[in-house]
Amino acid sequence: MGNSKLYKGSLHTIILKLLEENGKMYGYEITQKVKEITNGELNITEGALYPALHKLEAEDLLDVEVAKVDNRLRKYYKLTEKGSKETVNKLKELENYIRNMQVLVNPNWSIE
Amino acid sequence: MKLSTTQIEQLYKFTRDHYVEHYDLQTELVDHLANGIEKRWENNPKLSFEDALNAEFKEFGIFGFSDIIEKHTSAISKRYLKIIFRFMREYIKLPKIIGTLCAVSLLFYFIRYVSFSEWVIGFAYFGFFLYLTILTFKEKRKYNTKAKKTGKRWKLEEMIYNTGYGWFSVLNLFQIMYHLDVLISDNYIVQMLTAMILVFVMLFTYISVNVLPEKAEELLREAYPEYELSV
Repeated sequence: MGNSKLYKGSLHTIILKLLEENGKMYGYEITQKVKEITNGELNITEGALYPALHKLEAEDLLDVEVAKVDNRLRKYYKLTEKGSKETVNKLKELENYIRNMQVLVNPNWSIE
Repeated sequence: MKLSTTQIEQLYKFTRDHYVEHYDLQTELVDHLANGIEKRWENNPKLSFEDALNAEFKEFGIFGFSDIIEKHTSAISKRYLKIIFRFMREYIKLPKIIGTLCAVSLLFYFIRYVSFSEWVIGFAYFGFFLYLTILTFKEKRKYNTKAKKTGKRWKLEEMIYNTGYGWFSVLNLFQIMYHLDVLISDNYIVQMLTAMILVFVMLFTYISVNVLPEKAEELLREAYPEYELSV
């Protein structure tokens, strides 16, 4: 996954946030979207993305839908009700993390 | 340029050649590879299908699909266990809880007051064990025949027909009971716990071995929206 191990712990949050904003998405779309938003800086590998999606699905945070597109089947993921609540928690968690790291790395920094 | 139906078939074969056995995962990976290949064709229309596929597969890293396969299995196991517990919850709710409580009380009474109860339980256990062996063998054959006919294997279906968890709990419990001599203990707390655990394991096994295979079709439709589209 990506350029650094630091991103790895945030992969679930990234997926949840993207789904919150875009409704339903499929695997390939997620990798492309992340690339696009970060201008190619962050590259989610397939080997990390699919296990994360399957895990979130098994935890009932995501629901799946399948549609026939062109001549193949496409699996879409979307947030469940439980998933929407978890997204809020995860984002809060991540925000706290960023805030604490900022303070630790640069004690004079202020969020205001 | 879009992929042809033959090329999609080739992609399915490609995933099978790379040890992706189950149709649910194959389908997802085929769509991913197809999207990647089409994107490559947008930038370089002259690229051959094979070269585009190889380049796209390289994106998966040196381990290829193996990590995805392994983690997919553990995600499905989790779902499978959740399904069993969903059925089990019925037995601790009215009306079924009455039966559960009766079974526990009867078993407790039997262990506590009937002499040689450990022998009866031991033999019953052995009989149960034989029954499970035959049933598992039969279910597995049923699954293999079906998978061969449709050419599709579904991970959850395989777990349901393997009835693996039923086995696991039965074998483990036997070991525990044997080593701890719980059946010959005189302590009523131990006897009560034994009765409860035995009922729990019987329920767990009954659901994984009898109930789930019967409801397999329904459970698969619930778990895989693509099941409907591909049958």
